[in-house]
Amino acid sequence: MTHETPNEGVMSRKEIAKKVGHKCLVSRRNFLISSGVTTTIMITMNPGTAMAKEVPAQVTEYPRKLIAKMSDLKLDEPLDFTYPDEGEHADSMIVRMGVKAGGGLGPDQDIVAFNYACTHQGGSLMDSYKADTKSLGACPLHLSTYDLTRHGILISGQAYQSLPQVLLEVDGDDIYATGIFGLIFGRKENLHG
Amino acid sequence: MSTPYYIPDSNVPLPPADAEVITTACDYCIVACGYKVFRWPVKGGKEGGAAAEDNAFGEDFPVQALGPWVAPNQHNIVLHEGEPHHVVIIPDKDTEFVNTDGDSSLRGGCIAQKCYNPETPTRDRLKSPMMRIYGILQPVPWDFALDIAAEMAKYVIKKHGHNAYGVKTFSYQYIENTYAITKYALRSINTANFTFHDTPSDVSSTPGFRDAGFDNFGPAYEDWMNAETLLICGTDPYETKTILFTQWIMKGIQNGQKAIFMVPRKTAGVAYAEQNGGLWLDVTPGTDLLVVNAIARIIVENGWQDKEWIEKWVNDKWGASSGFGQGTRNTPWQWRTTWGKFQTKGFDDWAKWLLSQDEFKLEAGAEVSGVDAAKIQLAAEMMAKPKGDGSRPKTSIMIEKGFYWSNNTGNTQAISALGITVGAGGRPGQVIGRAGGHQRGGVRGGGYPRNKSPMKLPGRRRRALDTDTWTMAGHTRMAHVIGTTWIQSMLGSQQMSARFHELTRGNPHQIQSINREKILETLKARVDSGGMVLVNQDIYLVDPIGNQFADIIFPAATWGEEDFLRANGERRIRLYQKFYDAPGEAKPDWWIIAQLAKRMGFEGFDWENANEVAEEAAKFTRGSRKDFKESLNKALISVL
Repeated sequence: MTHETPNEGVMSRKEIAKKVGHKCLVSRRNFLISSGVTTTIMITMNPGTAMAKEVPAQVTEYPRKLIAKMSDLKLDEPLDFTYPDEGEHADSMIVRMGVKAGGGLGPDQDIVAFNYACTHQGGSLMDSYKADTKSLGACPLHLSTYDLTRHGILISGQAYQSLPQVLLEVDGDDIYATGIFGLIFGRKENLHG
Repeated sequence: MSTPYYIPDSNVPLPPADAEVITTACDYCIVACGYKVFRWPVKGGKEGGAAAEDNAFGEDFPVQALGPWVAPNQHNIVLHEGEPHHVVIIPDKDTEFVNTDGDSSLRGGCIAQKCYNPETPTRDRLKSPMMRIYGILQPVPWDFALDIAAEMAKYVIKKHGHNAYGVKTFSYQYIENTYAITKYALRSINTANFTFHDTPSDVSSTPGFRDAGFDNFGPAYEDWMNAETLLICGTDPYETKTILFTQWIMKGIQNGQKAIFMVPRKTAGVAYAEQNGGLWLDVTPGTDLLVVNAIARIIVENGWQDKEWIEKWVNDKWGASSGFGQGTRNTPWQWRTTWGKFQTKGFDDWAKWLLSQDEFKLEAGAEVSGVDAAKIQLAAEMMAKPKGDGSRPKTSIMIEKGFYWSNNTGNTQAISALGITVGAGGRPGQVIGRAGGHQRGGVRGGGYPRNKSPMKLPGRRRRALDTDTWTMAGHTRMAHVIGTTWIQSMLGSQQMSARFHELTRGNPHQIQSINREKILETLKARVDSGGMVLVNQDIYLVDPIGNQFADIIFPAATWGEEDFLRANGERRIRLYQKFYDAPGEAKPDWWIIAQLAKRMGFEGFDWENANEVAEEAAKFTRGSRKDFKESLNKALISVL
């Protein structure tokens, strides 16, 4: 075994990104078209002053997206979906954990949904759900691990933000994603990339 | 009372393409990763866009994995030259050294949050000098606070002696500051009542390394990666010096390195090592020495020691008694000789002793430490058993505080002997050293006046004054505490806290005037009655030394608020540039010390800026592991 050359055989940043990152599912243009519902309303700037004037304000809302059926959720078996759009780092998961969780849905408050992109450096946490600890991780890049019972807070590792939690609503047997708690890795805004 | 809640941000401002870029290094752990500060004015409402040409990173957003993403925690708003500015602080993605992949830990990733911003918890930063008048700390002008402190220092030293003025200070918070503080305390005042934050006396914390001739920070990060077997004692570098793990040790493990962790808890780095051919020695705290010597004994019993290394590089009894560079040849013979002090006549004599001690038998070590005997046996094999072709595994040993801050002398002696046995020390991939805690920012501007310490070891040797017992005994009449909690640290106790109270607030002589003469009269009466005046210099008001006991508070400026230098765990000098205004009237420690020193009549404190202090300090680094005199010379020549 030789170790003489430092970093020999170590992949470049771009190579690793390709290997562990999320697949870009659609083109940027499609992504922009499909992301969110944009409406125009009028707001009053500087109300009550001489400078008061009505300007159009762009308000973007999170889409309300059907992501799963209550009756389809089996204990500790995550289902994957994308949210809030089909763009980069939109891969997410929903799981019934059998343990009461922060933001948990359902009669036992144990159904939660999270984005899959590690908030440290964007490694994919897909397929890393651990039923014994109700966690996602360790990330294949640098081992960050997140607690899904506590809004995705870091258990161990390097991330400096919690894992973004997908906000859920239930309507009969249908579960809808309606928003995101926290900024998705790689984006400057959740809805415009 | 409402329930506290937290709503995370769901967007972050990107630096625009024309944002200023200032390089710095993370301030937190020993590794000192390179970071970049992107700064642009709040005025004008400018923000970078998602397209590559519209932001300072030149990358399209969303970025890919490992790209220059900005987490909301990496953004802050600071004052720069009096104007609000955005700062985004992320790891340097272009660096070739230390943090080679532009990685960041939990600590460094959040470093933007430590910048002073009155909208965040940093609003508690000290912003003005303060004096306790009528029992309440109140803002006072710098000149007033410095004048009172300097007058009292002069009085205490003259009336009660040099050792009545105590300085308890950080050892690491930038070379400019430690140089100024030690020049003031050790050279100018020349008090033996001096020590650093982590020890009651100014002593080595790895005496075994010192005696064996190992430098705490000899190894390079590359060496930790290139070891074939790495024994890590008393730390999980993944948690505490993360980038040293992810950018170096982890790559070594991926390349076949066997990492052995001797720690009581199975943390993430330990789990990773175990899953990848490594080993966890799940030691009961305090029993490390037995495991280390059980490993050494197995190696010696099997004759697996590195004979060539021992023959060529390890002292026999004559070499040992002549000293490892600290014996009769170059230290004053009156108080320092190693003749006979090592209690061993070389390797064979040590091996004989080791084999004669029943507690180091494998079964005994396993029973007391709680580590399975088979795992101890396996560790010895991984570290020293020759391979099929007769060659030795390249073995390195890393220690940190979980190991050397309990049974300090015994543990460091034992691990040094094990290091010698396996041939670790100053060879590529075969090293022994500390992983490190904080960065290395200590440069001494004066020698410790050991001959002025009244405390002695058996025989004629003096030892460094124990500032805890000295102060408890009431001998410290003025304590100058810089960037350390003192009372809670190390040997801290409720008794010590009660004694500090008794000496300061408990004394009848308390400031009840804003008149200079009356204040001095009161404080002089206090010290003459056996009490103590306490000056505390820090960036936050610390409990209890600052908020409960201090008479005078000096607010200090820190990382990002002044140009500073420091070394990392592989002896690289790092530059931390100023990129924003210190809060209020806070000043760097070197400036505060210089102001005091000048008022006390000491010479050599006329520095105009941090660079002048650094240039003077460079002279005092020659031959040390932080020697930056040569690089400074080159820098000066390149400027000329």
